[in-house]
Amino acid sequence: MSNIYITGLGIISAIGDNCAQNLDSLKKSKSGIKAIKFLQTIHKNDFVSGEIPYSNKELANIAGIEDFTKHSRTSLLATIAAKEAFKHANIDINDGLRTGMVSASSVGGMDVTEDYYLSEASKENTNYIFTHNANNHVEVICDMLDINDFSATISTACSSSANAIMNGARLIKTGRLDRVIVGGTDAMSRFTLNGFNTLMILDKNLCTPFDENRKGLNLGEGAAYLVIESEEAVIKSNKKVYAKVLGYANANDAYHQTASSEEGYGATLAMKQAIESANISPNDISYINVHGTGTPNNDDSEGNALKNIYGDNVPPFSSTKAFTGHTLGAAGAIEAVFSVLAINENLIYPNLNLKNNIKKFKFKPVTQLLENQKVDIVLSNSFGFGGNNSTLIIGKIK
Amino acid sequence: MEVYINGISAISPQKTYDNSLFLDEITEYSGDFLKVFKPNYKEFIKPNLLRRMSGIIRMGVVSARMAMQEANVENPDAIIVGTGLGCMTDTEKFLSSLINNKETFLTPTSFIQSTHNTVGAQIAVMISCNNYNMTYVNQNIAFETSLLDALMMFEEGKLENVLVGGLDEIISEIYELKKSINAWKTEPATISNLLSSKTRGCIAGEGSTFTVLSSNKTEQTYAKFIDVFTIYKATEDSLKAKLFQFLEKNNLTINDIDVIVTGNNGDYESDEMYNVFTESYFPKSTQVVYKHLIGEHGSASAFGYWLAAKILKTQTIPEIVNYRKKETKKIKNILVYNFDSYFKNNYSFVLLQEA
Repeated sequence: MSNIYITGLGIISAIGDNCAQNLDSLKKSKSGIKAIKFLQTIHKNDFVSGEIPYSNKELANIAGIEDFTKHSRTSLLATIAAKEAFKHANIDINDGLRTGMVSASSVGGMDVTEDYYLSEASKENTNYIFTHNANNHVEVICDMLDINDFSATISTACSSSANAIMNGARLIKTGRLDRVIVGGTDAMSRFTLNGFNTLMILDKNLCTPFDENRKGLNLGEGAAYLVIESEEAVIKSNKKVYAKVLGYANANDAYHQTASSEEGYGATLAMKQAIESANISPNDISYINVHGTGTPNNDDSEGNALKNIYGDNVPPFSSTKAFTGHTLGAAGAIEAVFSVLAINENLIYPNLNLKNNIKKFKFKPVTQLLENQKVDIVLSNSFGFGGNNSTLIIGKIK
Repeated sequence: MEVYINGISAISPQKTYDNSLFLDEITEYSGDFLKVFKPNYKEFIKPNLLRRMSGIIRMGVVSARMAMQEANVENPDAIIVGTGLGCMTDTEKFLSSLINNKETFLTPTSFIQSTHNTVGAQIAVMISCNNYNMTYVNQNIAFETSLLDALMMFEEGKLENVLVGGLDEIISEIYELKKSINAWKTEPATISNLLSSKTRGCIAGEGSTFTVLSSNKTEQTYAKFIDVFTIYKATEDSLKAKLFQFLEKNNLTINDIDVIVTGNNGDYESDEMYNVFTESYFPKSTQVVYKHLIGEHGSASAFGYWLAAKILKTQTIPEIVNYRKKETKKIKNILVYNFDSYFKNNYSFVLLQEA
């Protein structure tokens, strides 16, 4: 079984434009959730979100893209993160190694489409028809990085980018690619804000994951990419490695389109199977980065799943969604990046905003930043609509 | 390790959902775009559930059930779906309400059903399948990427059955949008003259093709699924190199390909590319086409896969798809070749073999 090494990271979220800034905010317990500034919506004053504090023009500047009007915000975010990961991994695209890209998004370029569809402006400007699709950002990045061969785009709601990471790892393990840039992206849009609002699962104030009185989630936006490589590729290029992808699993709750089963059946399966695939035991996990959106349903279901596996003795765990908001298709990758950082920096992140622990669970999330921790193996959950439950296991290089 | 095609179901603008037939009855084009020739959905879905389902969900769920029924599979080890545009009816519904009502008076149903993974999710709920569930959305190679995922699953472990599907729907709003960027034919066409057109553009269609891949050969088996590859961008040379590499990996040469199924769709520029490619590398193979029957959409090549499987099982090639006949003895190997005719990218090759 060949090892899958993580050789590069890239991220942009509400708590930072790159890895270093994100890490800094995590260490300072500094959340990025605040009032909505850029998204044009009648709900501007109704909800807080993990919106990234830049206009599209400013994002394009950071991304090194000349004409911001030709791209969706989703694509701009993805470009920034992908470029950082690619650079961090020191990739020479012409070194003969087979390189691919697997990315994910839940709404693609909807942020632009919703501005143009049915409007007068659409008669002149048809570019949004091209930027709409979930895979548009993949083409933009592949063109920029000169990845011509394999590319794929996944869309499984909130588990999307965790699945992208899994798919990339499998492409390497089955001998089809030597390295893959994997991750996902999603930008804020009226479509998703209003969509989630109709489901009544948004919290008007700062979300409180795993709190007894939690009201719902805060939406966020962002993008994150990891470069993963085969053992042979790493040896050949004498690459610096940051962590290993030890295991993964994808299971389905098969319960309801949007709600998770109370007993967390799909979540339990995903975690169990991921742990098995990594050839470890549940107690080998140093830290769990839970999906923890802060909705009554998710945290209950996920909590039950944790109980199914660990009883009352759950390893240190926290949700980082109170830092970034729920970044939908990007969540799996953003949290995978946080997992790698936790391993390398010996940190366990705090579960912010917690006032009252969920009564029925004897276990509680970590509420203060823990430093100088031995973080060898991290389990990261991403659960989405459609019962799509994915779990990743990331481990330290020993 | 062999992978067998044990079930297949295509709901398309032709009467193809009945597997006992093989393009016996052909329906001519009518209207701007081609909608599917529907089976009786009520035989598969309860009326109260059916009511809330958009076209793509109906055709997806039903073709999935039909394929599983044929393969005698109730709980596949994985459900993998590919779609180019996803659930357009519900996306459009929610989006236009959002815009027209200025973000007020919105209801959740169309938002929930607009997510790309809805069909895969609904299949899972219906059959209580807790196994691996994935949705690919990379345009016209989403179905092939799904096939690749399934193939990797068989390589990775002992599983028995994987359900794979490719589907897309056409609605008038999408037709109009793509019309504005010159995707479609502007002059009227018929089945018999579409592929000799000298203009750009194709005909919009829709459809759902689901297949059950298995590790066991049965009496139902249509063919073997050997391999698949996709490329985002290619030059003539790089494509040729990849193709030869692909065939070699599977112990074949170009002479072993008895039939090549190509994605000619009436866009004369890309049709020319298909024909030159076929002439150059497969001069002795029979060339078969199908998009003149079902139109073009993100999952049209899944129908090409259906066609290849049917040809292998019946060892016959219906006249209406036989584009360039060559003498064929036994049909053993079929290559399905497709690319995006608008952008000239996203190439795919699927290799099927007699079982």
